[in-house]
Amino acid sequence: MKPILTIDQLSIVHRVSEQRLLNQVTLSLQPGEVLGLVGASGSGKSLLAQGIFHLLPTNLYRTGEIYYNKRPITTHDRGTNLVYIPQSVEALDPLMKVGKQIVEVIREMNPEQKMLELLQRLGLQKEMASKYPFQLSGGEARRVLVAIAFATQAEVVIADEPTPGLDEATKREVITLFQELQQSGKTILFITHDFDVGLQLADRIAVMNQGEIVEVADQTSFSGDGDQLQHPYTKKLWQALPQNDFTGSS
Amino acid sequence: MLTISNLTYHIANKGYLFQNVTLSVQPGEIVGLTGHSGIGKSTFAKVVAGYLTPDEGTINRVQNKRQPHPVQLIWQHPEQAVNPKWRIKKVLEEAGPIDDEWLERLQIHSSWLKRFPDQLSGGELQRICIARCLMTRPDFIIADEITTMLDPITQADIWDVLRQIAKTESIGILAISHHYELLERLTDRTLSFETLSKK
Amino acid sequence: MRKQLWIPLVLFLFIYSLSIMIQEESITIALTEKNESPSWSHLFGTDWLGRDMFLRTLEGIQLSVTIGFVTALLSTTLGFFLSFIASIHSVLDHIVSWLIDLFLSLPHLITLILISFVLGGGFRGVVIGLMLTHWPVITRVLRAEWLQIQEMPYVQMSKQLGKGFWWRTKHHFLPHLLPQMMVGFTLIFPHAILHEAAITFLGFGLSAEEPAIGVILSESMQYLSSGMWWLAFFPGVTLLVMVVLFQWFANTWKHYIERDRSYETYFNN
Repeated sequence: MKPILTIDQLSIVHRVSEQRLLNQVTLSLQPGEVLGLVGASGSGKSLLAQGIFHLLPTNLYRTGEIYYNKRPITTHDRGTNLVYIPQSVEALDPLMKVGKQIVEVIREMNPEQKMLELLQRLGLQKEMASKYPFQLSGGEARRVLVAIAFATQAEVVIADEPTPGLDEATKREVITLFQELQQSGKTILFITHDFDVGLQLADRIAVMNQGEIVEVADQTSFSGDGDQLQHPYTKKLWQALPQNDFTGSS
Repeated sequence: MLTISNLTYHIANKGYLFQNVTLSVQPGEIVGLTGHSGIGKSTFAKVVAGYLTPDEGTINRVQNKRQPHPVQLIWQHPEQAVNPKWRIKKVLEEAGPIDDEWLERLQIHSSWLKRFPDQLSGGELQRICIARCLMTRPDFIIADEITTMLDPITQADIWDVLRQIAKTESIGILAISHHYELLERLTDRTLSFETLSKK
Repeated sequence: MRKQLWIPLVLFLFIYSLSIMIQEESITIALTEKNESPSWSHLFGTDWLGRDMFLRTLEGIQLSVTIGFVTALLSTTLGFFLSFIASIHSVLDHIVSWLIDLFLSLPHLITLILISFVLGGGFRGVVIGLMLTHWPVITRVLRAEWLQIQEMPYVQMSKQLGKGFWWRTKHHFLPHLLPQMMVGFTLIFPHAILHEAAITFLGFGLSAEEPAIGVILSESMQYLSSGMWWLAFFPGVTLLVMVVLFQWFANTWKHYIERDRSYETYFNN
């Protein structure tokens, strides 16, 4: 199958120090899959998403190419064919009612009705449409963000850390939301520091360490002692989980 | 022993957050505390560590004037728990003269002391916060989701050190977490905050 | 960035120190040279008593800058104390917020004229009037900063580590508030200068004997119709240049203080 999104030797470099924060990252997403991107804080996971969407701070620059359906990605693709779900509620326009924000991205007849259908599907009340973002709870805001991802025609959804510090119940809920998103035919790059969530959701897991992708492994390889894993870092990550050996770096 | 009896706390206009919570931690013991988001675990931690005053109930450890609180809280987000304008050296010195023993045990590199907080990773910064906490020589520590934002390897490292310290220094730890497997692995017993807090 | 910071400041200080060097005695009445238009010997021309307008303008600038400086300092100090009071207790906070809203809802210039008039004008009247009308903006900013920093986990933690109120004030609060105070100071300063000139021009500020720009401008009104444009033009432009130079400096400096320099320090180590 031909990949829908290909990241080809993407590097992100600091302008002054020439320090490589992301080094020659190559990654491709197959249509309809969920690819989990895991790694320690500061390993460069978020930078990768920011690099794809041109959201880098001005003191960084990037090299390498990104292809969407085998052609170089354009500004038009970002936001139409690729959509970004950032970490926080702050991504919603604070001055616009939630319903309107969803309607704005729908490119179909009867956007109002479609929007109400989406809210229902995600377990949100109809009244939610006339609320402002600050009136939403954390969970509601997350569902609205996912609703927006549903509403767009985008085929690729890139979600950056959608489960920071959530309890198990809420985590499961987010996982279900993303599974529904996948079933609707979208391709998802799911960035998380939470290894467990990544394993529950993704078909393949890409492991990032110090700005490099050390291994891309099938979800099924993460089992037992991790014998099917190739890279020592990935093995270590797997073994460090409390339900496994719970051994650290020493 | 840290004894918390009948602790009750309410938020203005919102009613009781928790009521009549009774709990005790032995020196050197690690006790887990779990429960849903938003049911007041973190507020409970702040009340016990002296940040907030309870409506009712007693805690048998209180702060003496100009002395560090005998129950120290370690926060989930280390980057919020240090002054972003201070170098790490000053951050640590807020708790008293720097004790190299702790730096060594927590694998804090001496070159970090010259840096600013945003030049350390989350795991490194959390270790700084733990070192600062230990330098006050606390009797008890409340660890509120301290490794939730960290990767598994760093998480295992940090808890490895904390477990040893709890044993050698006889410090009681109350570990708050959503992570069932983690508490299972770490603690002598795990309590559910829902059960403790009868509304 | 550095250039944007230094050029206006150096120019500003140059003009100000030039004005300090002017002795009042050097402004002499020379009736033989009265009403001359600008020339090389009298750059800004002369007035109806033959006084050199260049020297008079500089003299006026010196007074204006001094008033601006004193007012900005007093307003910032007042703002700091009021915001501190507001941070102590929510009742005090309500009172301070109410005062801020009250003063902000009054028209600036009218209040200023009223206070200055009641105090009998002059240097004292103007400075007190300016101070009482310029404190609310900075107080509002500083109050928000106090409230914010008191909520920060690292400040709350400081208390639990055994640090007293004064220690926290010295090490946590003041370093946090200082940049805001300096920015507030630089923003009030040009405001105060223009307002001083305005009320003096209207006759409610400094008395006519003082060499203020406002006085010069209001005097020149009588002569403008007879074609002596330079009496108002040069003093007005000079005042404007001073204010613009300072604003330029203040804006650059504000950006300089606010921007994130964490990367710089990291790579310079």
